[in-house]
Amino acid sequence: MRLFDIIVLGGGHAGVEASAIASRFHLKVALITMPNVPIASAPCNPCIGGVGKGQVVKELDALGGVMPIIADKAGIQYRTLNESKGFAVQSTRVQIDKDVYALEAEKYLQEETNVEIVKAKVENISIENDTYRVSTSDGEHFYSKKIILTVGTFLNGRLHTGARVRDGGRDGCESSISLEQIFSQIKKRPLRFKTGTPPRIKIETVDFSKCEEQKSDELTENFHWSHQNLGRNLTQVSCYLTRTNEKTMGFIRENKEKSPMFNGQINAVGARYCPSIEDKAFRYLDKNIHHVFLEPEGHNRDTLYPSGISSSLPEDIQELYVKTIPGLENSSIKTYGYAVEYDVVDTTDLCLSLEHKKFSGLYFAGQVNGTSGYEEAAGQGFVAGVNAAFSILGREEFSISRLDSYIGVMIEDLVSNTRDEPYRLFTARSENRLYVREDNAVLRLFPYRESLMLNLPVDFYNRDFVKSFETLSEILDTEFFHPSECPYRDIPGINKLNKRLNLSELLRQSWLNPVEILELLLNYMGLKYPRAVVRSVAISKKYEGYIGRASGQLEKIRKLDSMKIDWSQLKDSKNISFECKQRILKIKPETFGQLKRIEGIRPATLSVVAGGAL
Amino acid sequence: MDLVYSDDPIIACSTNSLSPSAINVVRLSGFQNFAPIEPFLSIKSSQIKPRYAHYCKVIDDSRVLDDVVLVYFPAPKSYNGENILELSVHGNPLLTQNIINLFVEKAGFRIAKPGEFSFRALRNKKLSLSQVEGLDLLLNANNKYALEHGRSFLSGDLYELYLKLQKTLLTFRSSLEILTDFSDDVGEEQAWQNIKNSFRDFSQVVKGLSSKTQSDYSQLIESKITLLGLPNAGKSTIFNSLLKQNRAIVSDIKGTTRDYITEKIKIRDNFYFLVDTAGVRESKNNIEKLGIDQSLSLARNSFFNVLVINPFEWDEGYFKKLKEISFDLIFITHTDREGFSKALAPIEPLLPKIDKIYLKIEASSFSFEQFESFKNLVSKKMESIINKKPLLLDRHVNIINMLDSEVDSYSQLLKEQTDIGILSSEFLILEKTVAELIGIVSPNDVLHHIFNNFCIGK
Repeated sequence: MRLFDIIVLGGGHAGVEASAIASRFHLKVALITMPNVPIASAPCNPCIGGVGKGQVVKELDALGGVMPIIADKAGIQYRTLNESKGFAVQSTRVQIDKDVYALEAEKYLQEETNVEIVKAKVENISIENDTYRVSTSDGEHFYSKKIILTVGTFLNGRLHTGARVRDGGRDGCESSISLEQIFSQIKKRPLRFKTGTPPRIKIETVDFSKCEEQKSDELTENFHWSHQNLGRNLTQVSCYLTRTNEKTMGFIRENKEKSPMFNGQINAVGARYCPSIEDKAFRYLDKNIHHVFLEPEGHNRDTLYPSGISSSLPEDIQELYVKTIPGLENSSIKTYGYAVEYDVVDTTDLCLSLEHKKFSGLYFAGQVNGTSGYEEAAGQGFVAGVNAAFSILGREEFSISRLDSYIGVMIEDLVSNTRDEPYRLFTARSENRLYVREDNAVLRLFPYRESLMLNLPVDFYNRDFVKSFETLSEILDTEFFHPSECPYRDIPGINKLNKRLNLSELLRQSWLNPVEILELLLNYMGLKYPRAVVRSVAISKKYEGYIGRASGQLEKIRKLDSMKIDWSQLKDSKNISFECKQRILKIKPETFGQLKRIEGIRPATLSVVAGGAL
Repeated sequence: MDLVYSDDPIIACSTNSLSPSAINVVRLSGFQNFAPIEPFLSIKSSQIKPRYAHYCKVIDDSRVLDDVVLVYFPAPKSYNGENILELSVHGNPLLTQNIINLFVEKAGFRIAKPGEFSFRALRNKKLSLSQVEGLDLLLNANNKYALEHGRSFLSGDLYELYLKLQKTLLTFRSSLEILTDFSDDVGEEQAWQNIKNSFRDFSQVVKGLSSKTQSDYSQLIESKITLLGLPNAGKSTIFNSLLKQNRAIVSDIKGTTRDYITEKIKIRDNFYFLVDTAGVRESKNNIEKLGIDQSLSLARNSFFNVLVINPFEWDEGYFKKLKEISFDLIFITHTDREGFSKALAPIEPLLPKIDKIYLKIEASSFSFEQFESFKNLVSKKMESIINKKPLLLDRHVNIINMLDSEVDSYSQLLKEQTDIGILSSEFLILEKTVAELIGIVSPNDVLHHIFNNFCIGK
């Protein structure tokens, strides 16, 4: 019999973050994970970050998370997405060496934390009084008052390749216990979710001369603050772009009845934003050209991940359609694509802390909550880990406002609504996109990290960052100049401004790149500030006016949104309709903002609550 | 309307219950089940089929109150989204009242507040705010145009135009999101093109709407014909003789105290409110200024202004004060008094060059032709305004004008900016204004729209 403060079940991206941060509070943490699955493995696309997701990784970095560190260590290609579209929506994406990633993650847990990794298959979980008992197939029993479930797609997982169906969480791995075996009372979504992965192509059989090369961007900065800005741990590689054509889509359309997703073999719902090649073929009948990105999976792997053609068609059809794609005519497939369907919990039964409303001490994070993506999983894992620790330490719930972060947006969206498809972060989900950026992640998350009351290197870095940010920002507000003065007169287009103004106003001018200008000016003034601070200050100044325009409104929203409400009082109110009450009872909203985002809640109910007229 | 409401079951007579008619419709809404109603009907609730007409009796303590036809519309497929029961009862006001009282006293219903059925429809998203406004316009329409206009809010041109406004706004917002989140899938150039095209479509709808708001036509909702002039000019005589000819069947407007006299009259197909400003002055203890001010403000909100002049009592000071009012017609009275031409001669050049009708002292001796030409002038003005299909509701006019100027500044921004963060942040301003007009577009709507129309995702 072994006793732990916290047990994390599942060693994926959510589990790693949850166990790592929980162990920082000097608690005894066990991470129980399947024996033949690597820690923090990346079973699908070989990359971390992307639009909206890069922001999450930067947020994790400011919070002291693991993902940004490992992503840098395993990074084999860096890119800045949306580079031409303004600073607010720019995001970092890193292609990773999957093997290095898994190794580094396990090494990190062993060397940097006191998490105990247990590689075993969980057979059963039961509850005795307020203590959970986790039994593994080796016959061992683990006890804890806090359990964090991060079991990903392994919950009742079933894999489909054509008519071939097998149980499993992913190729080559068995599935884990079903949710009923854990607690029959925990409500699942009645719908199962589905995701898929493409066939993997042997590198040496690809003709790259027929594809467009995409090189690693040397100027994209690392995720993690303590890594040298532009330094790389591994040799950088290229990705390649090719496209499907009429023939490709023709083969798929001819074999509709063999696709498990279209012949009724799979009932689960997949994400519309991550369609399989069958989805693309049948939903967009007039479109035959689709991008296919060929992405290396690691230096020591002989396969490419062809992003864009995930499929659950039978092996022979996969062979057929892959060979129609330019560059892949003579390619051979190493492993075939498949679809996986799995159970997800009903996240409206969770609190903002990700703790289950009915089972105290039970937390859920990651794909089991119906999200897709490694970054989404990691973000939830972090929040669940902190909350499990906080509840042991007797501290209040830890939650991050949606106005400050994408992690906050995601968790609040999850607990406020049920969804009919896997949830992925898009920048469109944030109301505050001009403020929730990669460059100012430290500034945004600083208060939340401070509330953990951990005095670690990341905290020293954050404090320095914020201090420098504030002093530099003040200098820019108070330093006035005239456009005719040196060196300002050399700035292109400066004669449009023929009055004295401060440096902040200069950076706001739409035709200037604020980062370049600020670097130049600081150089001239002989002031030295860290690169990341200069960048963040410059971009913040540029958007200050626009954010200000919305901020009056936003401030009101923030105040109102954070207003605590008592749902139990709402259910007795005479002024709220029956249907709204049903929804309120289901979600049990704690703040006005949460209430507001419940789907189908009526304007009249909101005005009743906002006006305090219960 | 008061937003704080209760969910009690409500009851009201939906037809005019004050005068006898063949049928009155009593409407019951918001009951959870038939339990409280069943004891008072001769039909069992299990026999009531949704949307079928059932013949039955309304019973109070084994006493039959009336034979009625009953139709049940279960929630949510009813006018306001609640359970609704409609009873067609015999149209005797007393009987109708008795039936209503029965349900109020014994079945726990409450008399509905004015507009409460529709308010519940709004609350349950069965009607949009603009539809409720349209309904109000429709029910209270005094002229053919307001009637059509109200209907067009509910399901006609305007409703379509508003739907189009919402649709183009959604498409435009989606195009911004596609460039931000999915330009890998669509291609950057295509994504920018989408933005330009969808903004153009959106702004065209806005421009179309704003062309209907160029003047303030809200006076069409209650079209006033206002008679202005000095005491003894002949206003009241004209007022009375116009009434004699055209008095509307529905008599004077009750319930409010006024300093002026108003009567509803019918000219051709439309109802107007004829206003005699005579009362203004007389009731104000000869405080001339106050009287004139009030006449002026009446004239400003009036549809058709008539100046009445007695050339023998010409007061240039008074006339100057009326300068800002644009008149549609002048009545010149006392044509049969001796020296009329001489009295009129110095005045005539000062008068605005508009239609004039010359009347004798006894204005009741309006000739048939004179009546016809008065009616023609009023109708002509009405027709010319209606042909422009103006928007009648002030709230809509104001919001559309605001939206119009916001669209102009956004269009400028779109020329200068390539920063999608800024473009989408400033877009929120447009979105908020559209939301004020017709309702809210949620981020989920946007994502749904994107996924249903574009092939997204790797």
